[in-house]
Amino acid sequence: MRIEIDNVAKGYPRADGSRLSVVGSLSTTIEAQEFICVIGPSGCGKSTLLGLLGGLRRPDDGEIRFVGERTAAGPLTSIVWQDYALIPWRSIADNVAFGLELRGVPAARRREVAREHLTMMGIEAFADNKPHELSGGMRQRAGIARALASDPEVLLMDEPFAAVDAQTRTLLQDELLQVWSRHRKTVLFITHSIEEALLLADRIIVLGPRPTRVVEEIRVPFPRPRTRDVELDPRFTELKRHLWAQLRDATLAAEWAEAKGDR
Amino acid sequence: MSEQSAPTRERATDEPVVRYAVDPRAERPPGRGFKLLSSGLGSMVPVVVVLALWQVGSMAGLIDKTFFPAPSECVQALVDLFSSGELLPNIGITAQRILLGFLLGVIPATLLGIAMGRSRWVRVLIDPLIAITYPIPVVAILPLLLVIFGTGGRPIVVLAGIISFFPAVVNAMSGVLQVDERLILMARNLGAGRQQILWKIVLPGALPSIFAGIRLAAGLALLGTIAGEFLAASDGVGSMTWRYWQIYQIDNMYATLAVIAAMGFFLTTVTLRVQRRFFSWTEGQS
Repeated sequence: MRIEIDNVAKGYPRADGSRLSVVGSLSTTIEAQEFICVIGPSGCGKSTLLGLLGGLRRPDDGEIRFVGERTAAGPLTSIVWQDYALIPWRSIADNVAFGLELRGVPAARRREVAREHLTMMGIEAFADNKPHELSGGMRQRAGIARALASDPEVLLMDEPFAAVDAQTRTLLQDELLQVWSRHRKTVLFITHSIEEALLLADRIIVLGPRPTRVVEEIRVPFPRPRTRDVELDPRFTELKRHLWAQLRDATLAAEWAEAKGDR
Repeated sequence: MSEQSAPTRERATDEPVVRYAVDPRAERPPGRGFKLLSSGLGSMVPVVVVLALWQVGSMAGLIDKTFFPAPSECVQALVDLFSSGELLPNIGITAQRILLGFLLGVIPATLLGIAMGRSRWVRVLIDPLIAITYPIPVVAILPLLLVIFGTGGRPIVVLAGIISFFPAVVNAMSGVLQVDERLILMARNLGAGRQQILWKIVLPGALPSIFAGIRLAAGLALLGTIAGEFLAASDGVGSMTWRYWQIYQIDNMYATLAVIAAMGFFLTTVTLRVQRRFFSWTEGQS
């Protein structure tokens, strides 16, 4: 399905009664099966955008349209959360099957789908463990498995690798590339990392400081299937420099705004 | 580091040095005596020692026997009370009052607490009522209960119910309120409705806190029942304790106190077992 984000605005009431505009008239289109990375200065409303796309919040203005035939059995979107959001009293397998359970898939079929996705993420050995028994990287593998097992049209990933250590992050990026090449689900992936965006995305959407709008959209030229070797490509360095130039000023502006208490 | 340890560098003799070297005391594992005392059976040792000192002190005349009859005499009194057939029916009566009072308090309290946690409206209406009534020492309203329910077991059951109501309602509410908001968002994103969120996220997430409230309530139901029996009953273990105090049969009084203590110990142990068995996941986070 194609996602059309049409002049969407979203704000929050401040304590003093005024309104903090977080997303201001944002428009873009995401094609089916595209892998989009969204980068922007911290606090720019990336997560608000994700909440809007995930159906957790409604826009104050404008609208988001999911256009086209449904191709997946599950919900429109599944979010992969930065802090995993696994249910602590459930086994990993039951966490992965949660989306299926919600829509009444019979238990036998749920187990089957869960096992399949656990195997795909390489964590079938932990099927019966509780989340707190797993490392951060393993938990996020379970988070990805849950999102994919629920079979959404669009996968929304909210800085999914920000909470794991750098080495694990590298592993998870490689695994995500492999898994995605098989599923080809539409992905909207929010990240702080320019390198991560260049490695993963078909297209990078750069957001500006609050109230955020699309500053630039960049097509990433590297062919797929991709490996980490894209970092050796001279265009990688070029794009990285260009994107950092875009982000630098916005990040500084955001830091100043925050220091002045404009949250 | 090189394979061979390098010789220590030459040092002028007057150069000051701070040394962090091996401390043999810090590395020592806990000794046998400590291990014995911290084991399950070993933890009985201090109890046995106190009882033994009591026994010896009482026999040697160091402790006033009128207030502290020797443990052996209390045990003898306990055996006599059992064999005379007086104790068992009274234990049954007291246990029944505890159970009824506990259920009378805990069931509505848990339901109300969950409703308060889920609905702002219920919270805003009920919270002030609880805030006003909670600080009242419930035993103080026993006379009122006696007026309403007459004498006999009923006012005692109601007293136990009211006492156990409060911790159950407060814990149920705070348990529901403390459920991880991210999990609710996660479930909503995957298409969960309100009922599904209640049954699959909120209630299981609140369960450890609800159960902690129920544990407190069980202890308080015991307390309320015994206090009620002291003051307003002619049967039950509590009334026996009170009566033996009044007729100055101190060894019998101790025997009934031991029975009450055993009931409390039983409640605490059973509920703790349940807690450890079912809520081990609370030791870690998501």
